[in-house]
Amino acid sequence: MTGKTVSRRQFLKHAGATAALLGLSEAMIPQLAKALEELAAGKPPVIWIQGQNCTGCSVSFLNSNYPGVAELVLNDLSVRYQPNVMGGTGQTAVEAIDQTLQNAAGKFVLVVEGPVPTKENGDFCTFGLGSGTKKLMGNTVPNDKPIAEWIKQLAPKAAAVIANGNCASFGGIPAANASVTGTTPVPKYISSLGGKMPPVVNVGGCPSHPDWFVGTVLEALLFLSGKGKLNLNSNNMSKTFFGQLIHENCERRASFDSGLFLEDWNQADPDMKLCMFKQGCKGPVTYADCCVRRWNSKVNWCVGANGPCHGCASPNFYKELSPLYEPLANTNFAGISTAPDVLGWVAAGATAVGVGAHYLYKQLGEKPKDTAEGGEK
Amino acid sequence: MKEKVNIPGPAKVMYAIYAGALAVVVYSGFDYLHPFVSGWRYPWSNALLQTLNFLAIWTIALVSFVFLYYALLGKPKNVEWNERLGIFRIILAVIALWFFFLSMAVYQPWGWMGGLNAALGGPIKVNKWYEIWLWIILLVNLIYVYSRWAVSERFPRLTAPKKAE
Repeated sequence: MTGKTVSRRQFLKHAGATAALLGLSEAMIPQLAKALEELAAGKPPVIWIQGQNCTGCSVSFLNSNYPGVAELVLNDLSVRYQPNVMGGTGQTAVEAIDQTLQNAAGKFVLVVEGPVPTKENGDFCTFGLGSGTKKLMGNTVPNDKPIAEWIKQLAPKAAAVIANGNCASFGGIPAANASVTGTTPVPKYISSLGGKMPPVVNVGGCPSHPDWFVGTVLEALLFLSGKGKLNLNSNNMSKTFFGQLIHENCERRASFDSGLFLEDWNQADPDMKLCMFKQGCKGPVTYADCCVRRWNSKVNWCVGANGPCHGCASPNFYKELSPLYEPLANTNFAGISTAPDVLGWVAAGATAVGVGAHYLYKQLGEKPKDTAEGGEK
Repeated sequence: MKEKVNIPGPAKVMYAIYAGALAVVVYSGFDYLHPFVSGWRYPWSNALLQTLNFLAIWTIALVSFVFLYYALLGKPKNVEWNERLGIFRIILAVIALWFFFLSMAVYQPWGWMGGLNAALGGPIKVNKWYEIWLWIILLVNLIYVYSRWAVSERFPRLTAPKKAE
């Protein structure tokens, strides 16, 4: 790792690819190259830990290209702990975290994948050994160390925290409906700890797109080194990747505007051009750049593969966006769960009944009075 | 016979503008996420409706603001205004101002009403609130129109009865 060298041509190519990833113009390449050079010289340490995750975001990160994952892990960053790709295991691996804490306190970036379970002392998700012992099947064994404890230990000493993926950022699937594990999104958990904490940047997606994650990490590192600024939206997600509505750039937008909808999955649509809004597409309410960035080395994306957008980059995923194949998410108010439209029609019906009843009352109820006062006898 | 309801001309004109703009807002608002007009829309119609929606909601907000000023502070003292539903009109104006802010939060989530968007739970929830308030503002206005008719001397006819000689 330490002996690897790159030529100037290779380095500028790498900087150009990174600029393209961040959506910057070619004019920015020299500045970015300089910033990357400085970053590489300092090799910002990264500790990547995992909570209630499916490892999908890690796998997605491994698909990163332009720049490739090897360049990122070994050249641009110094990833000290990542359970899926690191060579070390067991206590040797965990020691890498301890060493980083000693050598780079206040300088490393903490990446958390998956949310934090808080019920049952956080025992639903552990790695490494904690303090104290416990009885297990008649034997005395060391306590496991929950992810909550790790974050409590690492977050205050990190330069920045990246919540990678929808689950880490907003709870995602583990937090859907009544979470038995006390699932807590990483930003919420860190803010609950109190005290001085580093900035937390969210990366949505299920999984997160490799470009989103890598780009956000680079933006955060440039920000920490004073070379750039963090342009975040109100959900603490980078506007570079989550600033535009999918619906605005969708390749089937013309069909939506023309009222050409896929009414049934069995409907003949050989050209795959009909808008899937009525089949549950959440593109009109989801902010991400999937439609222009695409996935799997820019090969395709959900709508391109004839699947509606499920809104996985949205903070409301999964709970508020399910059922996934229903056109509009339901409301949940006072135990009543229904679509706003249904509520609207019920209210309209009640209004019509009320107005009709009032009209009939006035018509039928006032006639005898008129007769008594001035009518014929 | 009921007493004739006198409403100042500016208030009548402002409600007429309000109601006209509201019709555009309601139609385009429902049209955006409720494509009940499947099959006949043209590619330009949706964009045009969104633009009209913006113009209309700004019109409603400005008219409501001016109406509130006129009704509460700016009305000349010699102008007769014996409408019993005056408070209803004020409620309509307040609801319209709230709906204006909600519209900004829906259509520009990271814009100047981004704070409201975040406070209401993000784009998805704001869309639900928008939809619900679209129904509310529509129904409340329908109830107002009916109530206005019900307290007028015309009720239950559409035209006022001729005065007895």
